[in-house]
Amino acid sequence: MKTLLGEVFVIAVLGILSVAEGVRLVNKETLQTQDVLGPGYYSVGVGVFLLVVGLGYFFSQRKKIAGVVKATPAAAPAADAGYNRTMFGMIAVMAAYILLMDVAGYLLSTAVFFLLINRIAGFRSWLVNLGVSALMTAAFYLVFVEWLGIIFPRGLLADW
Amino acid sequence: MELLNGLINCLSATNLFFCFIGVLLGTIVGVLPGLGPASTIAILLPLTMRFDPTASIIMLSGLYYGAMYGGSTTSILINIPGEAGSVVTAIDGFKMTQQGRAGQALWIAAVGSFIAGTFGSVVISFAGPAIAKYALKFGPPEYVGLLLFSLTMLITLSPDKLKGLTAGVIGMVLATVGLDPLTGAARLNFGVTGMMRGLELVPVVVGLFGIGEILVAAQIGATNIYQGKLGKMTPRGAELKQGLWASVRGTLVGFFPGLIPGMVPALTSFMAYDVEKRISKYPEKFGTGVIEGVAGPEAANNSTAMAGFVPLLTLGIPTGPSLAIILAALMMYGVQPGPTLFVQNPLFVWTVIGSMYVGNVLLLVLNLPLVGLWARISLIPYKVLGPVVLAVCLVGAYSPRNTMFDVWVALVFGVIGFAMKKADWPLAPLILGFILGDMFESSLRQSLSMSGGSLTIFWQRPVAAALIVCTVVFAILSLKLLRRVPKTVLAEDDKI
Repeated sequence: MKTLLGEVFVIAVLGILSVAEGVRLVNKETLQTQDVLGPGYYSVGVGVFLLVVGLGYFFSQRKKIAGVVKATPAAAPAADAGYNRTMFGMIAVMAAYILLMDVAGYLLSTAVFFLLINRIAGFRSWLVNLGVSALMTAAFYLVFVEWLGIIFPRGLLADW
Repeated sequence: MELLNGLINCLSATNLFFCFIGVLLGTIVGVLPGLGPASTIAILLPLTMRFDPTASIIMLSGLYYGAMYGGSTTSILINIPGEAGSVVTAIDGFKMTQQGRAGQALWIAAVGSFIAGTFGSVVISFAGPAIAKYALKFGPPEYVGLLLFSLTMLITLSPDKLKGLTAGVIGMVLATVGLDPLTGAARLNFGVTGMMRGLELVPVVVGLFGIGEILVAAQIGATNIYQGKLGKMTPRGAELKQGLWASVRGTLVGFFPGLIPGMVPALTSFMAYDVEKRISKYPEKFGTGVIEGVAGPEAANNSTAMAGFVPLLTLGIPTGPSLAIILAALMMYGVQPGPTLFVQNPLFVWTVIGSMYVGNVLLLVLNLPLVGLWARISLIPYKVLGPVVLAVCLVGAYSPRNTMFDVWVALVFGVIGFAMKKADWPLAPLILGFILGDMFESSLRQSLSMSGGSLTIFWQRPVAAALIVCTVVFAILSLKLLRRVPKTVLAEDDKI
C-alpha cells in the first residue's frame, strides 16, 4: 500500500504541476490569435488526463491489493543489504563523476570513475583494478575523444 | 530499379561495414540476457550522430533485427532468453539441449530467422512504396490521426493497461518541459536554465533503459556463468521438413500482427507457438523438445521485428520501443520519418531496405558457424559489463548537446528507471509518450488553428477520419489479443 501511495503521489504532483503551469500560460495567452489551443490549454488537458488516469490506477490497484492481502498475507522477502550497497554506491560514484568532470576534466575524472566503479562492481584487488581501470580509461579516451572527437569539459584544473 | 540502386549503395565498403557491425552487435546484445536492443540502440544513438545518417540507420536496424537472431542462443543453451521475443523458444529449445540436440535447435532458429527476415525485407520492398504514395495527402489532421493510432500502444505495451497508459501520459507531460515549439513560451522549467531547452530524448532513454538496467542487476547481484556443449548442428529428414514448414508458418503469423502498434515480438512468438501446437498432430509433445516449438516462435519474432519497419519507414509509426528509438534517431539525423521519406530521400530509404537483405545473409553466416562463440559472450560477468555500460551511458548522454545538464538528467532517469523496474512499471510507454507527445501537440494545435478551433476538421478529412476509426478498432483488437497471452510473457517484454 505504501508503494501505491508513493506512486500515486508522484502522479498527482506531475499532474498538478502540469495543470498549474497550463493555467499560468492560459492567463498569459492574450496576444496569440493564430494558435487556438495554445501551450496552456494543452498542458491543462494533459495534466487533467494524467490525474484522471492516476485516480483510476489508484482505485484499480487498491482493489487488487485488498484481494491479495486477504488471500495471502505473506511477508515481503528481505532485501540483501550488500547488493543494495553496491547499487547505491554506483549511483554515488556516477554523481561524483559528473561533479568531478567539471573540475578535473574528462580524462582524470574517467580514470577515477573506473577505479571506484570497478571496485564497487567486484574488482577487490587494487592492483588488478588499477590495470583494468587504466585499460578502460585508455579505450574510452581513444574511442570517444580521439576517434569520435567529442569535446568534453577540460576542467578547472586545466586552467591552472 | 530503386531497390537495385539501394542494394548497390548498401554494398559500398562503409555501408557494408556498418551493416556488419550492426548485426554483430545485435547478435551480441541478443546473446546477453538483460541487455536489450532498445537499451543498446539508446546507448549507441549519440555516438552514431558522428557518422553518415544512412550508415547509422543501417547499423541500428541491423542491431534491432540481429538481436532477434542472438536472443535464441541463450534461450536454447541455458534456458535464459536473451530477448523477450525468445521466451517461448526456451520451452522446447532447452529441452532439445538437454537431449543433446542443441545444434539442431540453434540451426533451425537461425534458418527460421533468415526465412522470416528475408520475407520481411521483400514485403517492405513492395508494401513500402505503395503506402508512401499517399504521402502528400498527409497534413496536420492526418498526423493527429496517425499519432493517435501510435498512442494505442500505450494501452497494449503493458500487462496492466492503466499502468501503461499512466506511464505514457507521464511521458507526454515530460515532453512539455522547455520552450513551447510554436509560441516559445517556457513550460515546467522552474527557473532552471538547462530545462529551458527541454529534456533531450537520449539522456532520458539512456538513463531509463541503460543505467536503470545495470542498477537493477547490481541490486539483485546478477551474474551470468554457464558453459554448454553443442551437439550435431543440422536437423535431418522429417525433422528438417517440419522445422522449415514451421518457420514459414511462424513468418506469416509474426508478420501481419507486427504491422500493428504494440504487437511486439514477445507476443507474436507466443502466438506462433500457439498456432504450431494447435495444428500439430502431437500437441502433447510440445514442451518436451519439439523442433516446431523452436522454429515457429523464432521465425515469428524475426518476422515481427521486420514488419515493424513497414509502418516506421512509410508512416513514421514505431511499433515497439526499439523502433521508437530508431524513429528518434531518424529525427535527430534530420531525416523526416513518415510518408514523405520515400519521396524526399529515396536513396536513403532504399539503401536501408537493401541493407536488410544483406544483413539477413550476414546474420546467417555469423550465427551458424559462430554459435559457440556467442554462447561464450554470455559468460561476461556484470562486474566487467556494468562499469563499461554505465560509462557509455554517461558519455552518451553528454554527447548530443555537449552539456553536463544532460548527464545529470541521465542519472536522474537512471534512478527513475530503476524504481520503475522494481515497481513493475513499464518503461516503453513512457518513452513512447515522450516521443509522440511533442509531435501530437504540434499537429493538434496546427489542426485546430486550421479549423478555427473546430474538432470537425478530423471528420471532414477522410484519411484523418479513417485513421481515428482505425485507432479505435485496433485498440479493441489489441485488447482482445492481449487477453489470450499470459501476463508473464508480457511482463518479460516490459523488462527489456
